[in-house]
Amino acid sequence: MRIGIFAIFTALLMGCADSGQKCGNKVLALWPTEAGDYKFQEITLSTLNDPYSLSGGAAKIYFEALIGGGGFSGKVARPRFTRAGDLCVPMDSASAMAVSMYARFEHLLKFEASLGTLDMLQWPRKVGLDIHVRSNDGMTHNNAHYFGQGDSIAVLPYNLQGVPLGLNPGVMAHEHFHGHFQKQVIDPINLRLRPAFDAESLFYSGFHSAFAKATVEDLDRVDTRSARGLNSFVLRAWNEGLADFYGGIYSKNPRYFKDSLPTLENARALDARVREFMSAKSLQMIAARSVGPQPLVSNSYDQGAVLARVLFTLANSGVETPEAFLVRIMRRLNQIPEAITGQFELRVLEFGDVLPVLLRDFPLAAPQCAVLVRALSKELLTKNFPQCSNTSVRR
Amino acid sequence: MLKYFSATLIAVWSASVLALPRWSGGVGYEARLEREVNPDFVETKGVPQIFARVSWTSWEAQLEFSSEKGASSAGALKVQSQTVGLSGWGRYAFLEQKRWRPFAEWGAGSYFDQITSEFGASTTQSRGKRPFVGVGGGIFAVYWNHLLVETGARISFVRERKEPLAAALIRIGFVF
Repeated sequence: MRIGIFAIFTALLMGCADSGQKCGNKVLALWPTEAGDYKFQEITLSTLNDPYSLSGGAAKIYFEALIGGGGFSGKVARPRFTRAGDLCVPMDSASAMAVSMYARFEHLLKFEASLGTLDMLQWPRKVGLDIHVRSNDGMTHNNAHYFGQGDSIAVLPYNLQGVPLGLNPGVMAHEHFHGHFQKQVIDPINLRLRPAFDAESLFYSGFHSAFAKATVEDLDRVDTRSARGLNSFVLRAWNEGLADFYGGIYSKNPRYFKDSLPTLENARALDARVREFMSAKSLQMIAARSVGPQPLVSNSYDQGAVLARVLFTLANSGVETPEAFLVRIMRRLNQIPEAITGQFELRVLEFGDVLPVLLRDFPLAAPQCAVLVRALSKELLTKNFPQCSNTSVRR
Repeated sequence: MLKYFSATLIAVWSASVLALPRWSGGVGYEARLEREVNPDFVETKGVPQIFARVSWTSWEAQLEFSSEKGASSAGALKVQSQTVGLSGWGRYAFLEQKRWRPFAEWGAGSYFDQITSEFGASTTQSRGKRPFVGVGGGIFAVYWNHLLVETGARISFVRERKEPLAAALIRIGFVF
């Protein structure tokens, strides 16, 4: 009798356990205001069905997950909330970061929809927070990476006193752009450069992939004595520069690194003065003097910053809105492989060789020509932008 | 939530006879198993509590109060939480003649949360609540007619959580 009463009450309680309205899709997230400072705001997540499991139409968010060749393993993040009215309030910093990151990628999805570039990438995006990996330069904190093989973004733990990288809109947009470059540029180039029949690969196919030829993004294994090897660093510069540019347009902040990584503010500032690209010959000289790829990687970031400043300056030169200019650039990404693959293994590309591809049909008047005159050598300017040849500016 | 409390109290009262109730009270420690934000990992959290209980032969009603604090940060983002738990439980203790008596329990309550989120000069405070229901069981004994010792386990279903909360408890108290 007593057992029966207990069983009935237990069933009633358990049956009612899930009743009542749970925390909905309105969350308290740390979000930048129009003025650029960060405040806690109520954000409605329209692509997330269940705030307790961060997997929706915009992104799959992982926390402290393992990452391998296929992307992240394990389950998506499950934030801890308390319910204040109809608002989900994160109960710890990890939950706050995870849900804010989902909100960021939902905003990116809407941004790309407004640009008309949504179909250029696969959604939801896979993003990991507080991922424990070691960069090739030894960093385990305060960095973020895009992994092309798994099409995933990993944000490393952040231990400085600024805006965590996962909350910085420009940084997240930068990493997000790498997915575009991977799909539109790197993958097609790798496909074009892969031989139709390669006796060597037949023999080595049963062995570790270390024996295979390096892909164009694998900077650790390239042969820096070859044109193909050095062109991988040129490609890296274009990738990083375009990502910086995308991040600046999305966040409307030309110095978005400052909030999270103040030491990078000046090096990666989009509104800094445009200077001339390094020549291919200079790149070869650096390669000849370097031990290991790291100096060349650093140089790629430096030259990428030059490209980013050129594009940012042109975007704000008044020809069209910055967003329209961004769409122009993104629609021309898939023309880069065809423009360079024929020469990829024959000569070292110039860092400025990407501009004629990206700026095709872009109207160039004196202000725009002034930017290109600063960035390009006279030879490249005359060859690719003859209409700007007579423009002179003080370097 | 009111209906859960009512159901518990009605069950206890309806089963009571004319026996005089015995009161007891004391302190306890709850060790919870909780999945982290990465659900592949589980952490244990210890929460102290105080309880008050009234017993009529085998039927018992118990009130519990707990308090816990939490603090976490990422860069300049800091989140502090303060949670008070309040719950009522109905219990049935078997084997009335034995020293060590097993019991079964069910109950309901709520966690009342105060969350302070800070980033630089921006601070926000939020108050929320997380109702729950739970079932459990254990074993207890009374020594020298007054010293109560008890251990048990329970599972709670919290409205704002996907998974149930599992916990082990130990209690020590005084029977009046």
